[in-house]
Amino acid sequence: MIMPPDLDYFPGLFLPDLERARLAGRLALLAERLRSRGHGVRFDLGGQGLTAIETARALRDEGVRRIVLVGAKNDRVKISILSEALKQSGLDPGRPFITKQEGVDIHRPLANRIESLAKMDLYLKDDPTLGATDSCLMILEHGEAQPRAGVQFRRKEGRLYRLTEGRYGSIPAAVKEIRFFPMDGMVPDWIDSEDALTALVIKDSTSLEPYHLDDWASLLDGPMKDRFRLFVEEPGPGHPPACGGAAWAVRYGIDRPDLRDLIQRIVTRFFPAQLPLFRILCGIYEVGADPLEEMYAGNSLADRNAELIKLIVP
Amino acid sequence: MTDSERNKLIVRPAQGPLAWLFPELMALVPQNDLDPVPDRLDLNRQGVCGAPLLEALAKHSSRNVEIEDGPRGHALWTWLSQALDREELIGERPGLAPKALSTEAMTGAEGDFPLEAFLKHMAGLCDGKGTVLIEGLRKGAVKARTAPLSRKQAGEVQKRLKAAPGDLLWLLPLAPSSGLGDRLQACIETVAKDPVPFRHAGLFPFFDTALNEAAKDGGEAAESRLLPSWWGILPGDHWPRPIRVRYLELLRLLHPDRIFLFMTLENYALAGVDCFVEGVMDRFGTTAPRRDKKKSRPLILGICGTDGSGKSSHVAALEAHIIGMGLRVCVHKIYRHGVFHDTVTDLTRRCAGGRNLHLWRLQRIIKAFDSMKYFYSSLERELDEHDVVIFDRYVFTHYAAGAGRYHHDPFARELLSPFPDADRIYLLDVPTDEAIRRIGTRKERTVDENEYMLSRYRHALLDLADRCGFKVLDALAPFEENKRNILDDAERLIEARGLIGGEK
Repeated sequence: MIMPPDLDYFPGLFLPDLERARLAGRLALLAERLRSRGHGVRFDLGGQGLTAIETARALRDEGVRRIVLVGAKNDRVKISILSEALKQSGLDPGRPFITKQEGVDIHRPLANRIESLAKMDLYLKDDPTLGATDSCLMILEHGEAQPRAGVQFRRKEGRLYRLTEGRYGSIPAAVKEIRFFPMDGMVPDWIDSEDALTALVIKDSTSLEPYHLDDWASLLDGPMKDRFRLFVEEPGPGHPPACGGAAWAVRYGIDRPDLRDLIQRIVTRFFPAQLPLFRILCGIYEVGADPLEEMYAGNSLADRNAELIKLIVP
Repeated sequence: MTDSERNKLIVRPAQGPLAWLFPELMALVPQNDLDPVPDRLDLNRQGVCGAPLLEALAKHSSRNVEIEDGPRGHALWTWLSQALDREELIGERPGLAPKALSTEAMTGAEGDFPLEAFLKHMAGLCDGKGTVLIEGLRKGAVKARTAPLSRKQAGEVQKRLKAAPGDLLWLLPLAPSSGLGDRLQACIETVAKDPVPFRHAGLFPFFDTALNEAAKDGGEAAESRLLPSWWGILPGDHWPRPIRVRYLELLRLLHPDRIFLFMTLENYALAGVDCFVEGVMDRFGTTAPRRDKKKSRPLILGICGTDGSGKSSHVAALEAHIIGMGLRVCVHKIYRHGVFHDTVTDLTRRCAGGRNLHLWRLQRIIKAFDSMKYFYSSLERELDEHDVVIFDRYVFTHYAAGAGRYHHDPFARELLSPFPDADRIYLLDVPTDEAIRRIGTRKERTVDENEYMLSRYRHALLDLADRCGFKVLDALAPFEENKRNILDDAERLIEARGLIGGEK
């Protein structure tokens, strides 16, 4: 079971994709549960910094027989990339599963929440804990009491440290305070979806023949249909790398001019040293590019140069 | 303080790509050592770039501006001296060597961090020449140094740090030398045994180079012309790909979550794209395509599409139809295949073997400049003399080429801004395999005429179509059907413009 990596343009300012982090956390719990039951399912949560083709080759070399791709809403393009890489390596990627979160955008409601600049200014101005340059702009979804495997925080000497642990890597960064903003959208029933996924994996590992991946997809129309409805959706054709640049910009809120202006003012005020990077990101969004996805797809200049040069070198 | 000092404005550049990759390094920005100077502009503390930065400096027109030494100072000076046209006031071009870092606030250490084992590991990597070193920085205790230390010096630093292990941030400067590859490999093997403590320690490796003056012993021909602001990201011009590959391996062990950001930055550094200067000059904030307000502007129509999509046939049909309507019409190709085409192809050939990758960018710039040359030599006056101008490809082909080739085109929009906005772009969309089949009989192939590049161009154009409102036509549909669609739409635009019915 493979999840593509989180791609973060601005590790000093924005949190990772929380929707994805939560899914990764759930998958990690699922992995533990399955291991404790003796099932031989391997989980790759995309935290090893491997490109799609490197991931595919590693799986092929390990002799992995059957693969399920899982991703959050913003992972759609990355799943397309990974799927293509798996095919190139002679592996069948099967049918991917992408979380269905219609109407529940983790970041956008929060972005809406801070849309009023006057209010935000006042809010931050009166809060001395957010005045230091080492604080992060925290954008969090509805507060959850239970610890999350995806994004964890540790309090030390009066300060909170952002810390993600586990196989998907760590991003330590100091924050002054975590603020929980209420969300308007609904939180999906993850327990249901996790149980459904567990059933799916167990069924696969015990009774299905290798490469019969269509059977997995058939569950969507089978007796578990209702339980899957929240969790998976039919993936449409993924954007190719060259024009898939919107998801991260939507997550950061820079796809809308008003929010972009707001965030720029926040960066200018609280993270002035990072203003050039922020402007670069706005420019990259303007031209419809997504360089991080390009790198994940193995489209760097150094990687592609050799094969393209062959066409014109006598 | 002398009059000269009073009349001086010191500019400190913002942090650059290395700190974009490792924002923890922002904590190393000096805070207090400029206090004796009466006036300063610290871009790390005053968020200002682009036009506002130029305006801020213009207020000090009677003063001498001095930009701090270091790679980013060098890059900033280059832009400002051109933008302000007052080189004499900006003072000397800053040197390339970064100023010694000083520490203010350090973060990242874990309480249970195995300091002893960590120091032992890292000390083992020092070879006595001090070319691979670990330096720990602690608040107020140690001046950070990016220059190599001797083993003895490193030992002294470590001794001091052992006494006060709290609040540390660890830098790993990698100075290019003939043995760097081996030492990087040793470092990788050490960290690979148990990466977790190293990750939690916040260990940040970077290339400590003197940029283009990097040592060349053991190196190969240039892979890139390293621009100053990329300091820390690349090992220099003359260090072969294996060094970069090993660095990537180490980074993957230490910061797997930042691999793709690093690869992106490295990609632009190799391509010779100066993202730092782009950000500081705020290129994207000031280079929106020109809105042509001229009332006499002709109707601008363009037909775009990848090679093999059938553009030329439709351009000819559209031109004939508009001539038949009694209007003055001309056709232009701003994306030319001429002498320069052979030149840029030759330049691209020089990238063989992974070398001179910065020439990829040069190729794009040359093509965009050729379009501009064409604009001023052949097109500009015709805009006043015709009712309709048809373009066989328009500026969007340049945009698609930039995005398709290296994922980010910082120059095309700015260079091509004199071209007027099109009233309608027709995009003939053809699947890549069909395009390949159609152009398969051509004698000469370009670097773009292959499945990979054509598919990238196609998707970039479709993305532009979505965002810019092109009329997309299926190039697999019968020619007459697409022709009818184009002609009907063009007629509507011509009528709406009042070009027929006595209102020319």
